[in-house]
Amino acid sequence: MGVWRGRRRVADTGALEVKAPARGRGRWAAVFAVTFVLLNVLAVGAYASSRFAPDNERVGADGTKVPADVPEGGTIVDATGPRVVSYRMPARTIALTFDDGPDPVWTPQVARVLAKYRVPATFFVIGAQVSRHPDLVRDLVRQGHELGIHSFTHPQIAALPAWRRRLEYGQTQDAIAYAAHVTTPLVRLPYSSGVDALDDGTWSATRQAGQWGFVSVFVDADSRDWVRPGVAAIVRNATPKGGRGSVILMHDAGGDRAQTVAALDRLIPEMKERGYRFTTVSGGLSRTVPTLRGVHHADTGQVVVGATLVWGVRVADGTVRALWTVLIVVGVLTLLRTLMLFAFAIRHTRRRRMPAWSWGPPVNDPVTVIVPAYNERTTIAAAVRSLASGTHPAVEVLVIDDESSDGTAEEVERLRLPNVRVVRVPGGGKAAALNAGLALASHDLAVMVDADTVVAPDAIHRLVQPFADPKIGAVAGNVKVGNRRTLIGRWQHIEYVIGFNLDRRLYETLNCMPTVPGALGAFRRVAVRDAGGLSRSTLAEDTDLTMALHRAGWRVAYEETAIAHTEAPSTLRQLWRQRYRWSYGTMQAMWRHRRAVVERGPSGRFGRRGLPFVTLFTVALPMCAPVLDVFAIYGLVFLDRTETVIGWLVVLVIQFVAAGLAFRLDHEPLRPLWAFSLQQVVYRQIMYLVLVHSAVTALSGGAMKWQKLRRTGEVATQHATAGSP
Amino acid sequence: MIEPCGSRPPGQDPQHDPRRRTAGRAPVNRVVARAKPYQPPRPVRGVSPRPDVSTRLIHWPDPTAPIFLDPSGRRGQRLRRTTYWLVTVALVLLALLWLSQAFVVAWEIG
Repeated sequence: MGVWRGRRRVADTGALEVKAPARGRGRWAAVFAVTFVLLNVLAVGAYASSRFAPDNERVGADGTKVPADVPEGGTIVDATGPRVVSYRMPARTIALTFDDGPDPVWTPQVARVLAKYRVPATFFVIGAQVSRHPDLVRDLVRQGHELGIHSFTHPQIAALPAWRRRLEYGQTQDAIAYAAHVTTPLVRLPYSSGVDALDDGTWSATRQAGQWGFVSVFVDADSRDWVRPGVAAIVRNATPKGGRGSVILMHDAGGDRAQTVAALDRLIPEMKERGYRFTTVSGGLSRTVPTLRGVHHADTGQVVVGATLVWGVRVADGTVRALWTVLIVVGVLTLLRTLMLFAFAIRHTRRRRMPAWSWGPPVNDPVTVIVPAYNERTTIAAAVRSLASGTHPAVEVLVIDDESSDGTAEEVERLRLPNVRVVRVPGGGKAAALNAGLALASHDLAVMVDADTVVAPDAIHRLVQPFADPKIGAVAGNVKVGNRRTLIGRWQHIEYVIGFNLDRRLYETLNCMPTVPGALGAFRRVAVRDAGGLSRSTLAEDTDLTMALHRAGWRVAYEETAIAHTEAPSTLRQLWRQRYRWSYGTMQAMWRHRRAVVERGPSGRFGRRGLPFVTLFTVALPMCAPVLDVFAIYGLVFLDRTETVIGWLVVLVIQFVAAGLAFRLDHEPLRPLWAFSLQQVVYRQIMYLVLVHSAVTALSGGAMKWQKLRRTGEVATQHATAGSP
Repeated sequence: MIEPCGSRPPGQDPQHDPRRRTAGRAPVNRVVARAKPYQPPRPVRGVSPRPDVSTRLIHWPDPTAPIFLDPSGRRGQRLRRTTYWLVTVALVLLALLWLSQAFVVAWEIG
């Protein structure tokens, strides 16, 4: 049996039966590789942003190991040889030094003032900043300034092991080599000041720097510009005493440096008037310290390694920035959506609960209930019994057996219910079965119900009441999860209650309901005919039909009092399959109706208002939502843990309140909400992965079949045990 | 198969001799039988004449065809190859970055 067009067989018994692709391990390897790369990139970004630096730790407070002559000696300590030698700047010579740069705002301003007075200076740069602004470093060297190393991430160097110290110096050197094609023998340890304040830890780091060929530069006069004491105070602090030579510490980054720039503009002319000359550290000592003589050109190896590092930091920074942007967009949209859900759901409920509210005159027209069934022997009897014995006058139940092999049709026939008909059709999928049901239906109102769904006695009657309004073409019922004993069942129960009581109320108000659920939905046959029937080209025929109804100009309503209980997937694997099909089918339906965006009339209205809204909130936003979890982990590892936990808890509380509201609106007991917090750390992530999986399948054009879920019959058993009609 | 009218005169075939074998290899001229198949000296290239559009088979778009499905598998293959290529490049660059740093530290400390 199959589907034939002319003499050509176009389909087999399955709806979309195509050859299954060979499942390669390469796909999963690629996913792991992408995750691995992303984690590495985030780690590099965090490292370059000083997230690892133990800034507040002080070590080696004693100065017992510092030789007695060093604190009394000069501020430039050369420990490159076997003997430690200290040097001072010559008399009336000033070496201006700037730490923590380069900074895109303040470094050019500082350089402009220096250029104004033709004064060279020494910039002790942070390697990570050099990676971010190599052009600034290049300009400084071109303008005749000197560079020194101030570590890569500005850590407390004394607290670091030797390899990390070496990495800090080496990386900064490589970054300078790439940026300016020079190297530097000068180093200034972060948080260091004058030689008289040397402690054991800093001294050990100074000795080690000397062993690696670096000359350590300390400070004669600290301008203390970092506390922003005012221009006069900075000038006063920086002014050398008694005509001595001086290495002056200032900063060209790390905050607002307007006072530093202004102070520099006063300090230089004043000192020049007093007979001081300005030079770089090397310029002042090149005659006495051989290491500081001449220009140190970088070799090709250093430039290449530096380029790798600089581009690594840039890519990491760009990735982190992009993720932050997505996080902010997702956060704002989620908040906006939550507020809209709150406002619209409360408004919708109040309006429905008003005593004067009614759809119009009571609808008692006969109804045909169509139940498509494919191997549903476990659940079909309970479903049909609940439908056939409802309170609505004149219900005809039409079971469309889609070539079942488990005796589904026989099971229904055994019930011997007078208003139940069984029709056996050639296997063609759910859409074809429903089309057959619509064609064979005796009445103008049709209700479509899944074969695993048990409806409340008054569900059909309540479901068709909105048809009192002639503009309404379809009505969505309120479907609940019947099997809630397992954790997966409870998670789905929470999801269903939120989806049906918040989302659907919002969608109905905005007239852009994306789906009348296949589990319980009512239709005018004429509306379905206007929409072109149920299409076999998507795997979410209910979503596709609902969108087609909107385009045909019909309104879609939600009737929350029409209640049905359905059997939800009971295992993670089954759940994955079901959601994979749903999300893939929704994408197919959206794509199928994309032309509505440019059309006129009701189709255009849906295409320009409803479709983008639905696309944004059902596909785009959930697809970007994993960034919340990525940043939660990133924050726990690299950022302030307390802030991260608080931020995450705030999001959780907002969602919990939304869930609580949905449960209240649906008159559901709040007890299952204990599983909500766990849902946020397992279930939500699985749903993201399913969505990503569907998107990849859609992009790659992969084949996807309708996958039959295994029924446990739990809902049917509950129904039978409860003894409901 | 129905033979078109006028291709053979009605009645018995005058050249048919029932005593001769009717099964087996057809007798052909010796020159033809022993001739080597023609092989052009180099691959033949050119433009084939366009088929007659008016008699070409019409392919109507199938409204029931599954959306997004690419039965040829070319789109998926292209996407897979691009992804693998990008992932490989990213992994190589990442390895270079880590190796360069590790090498510097190992060299200097060692």
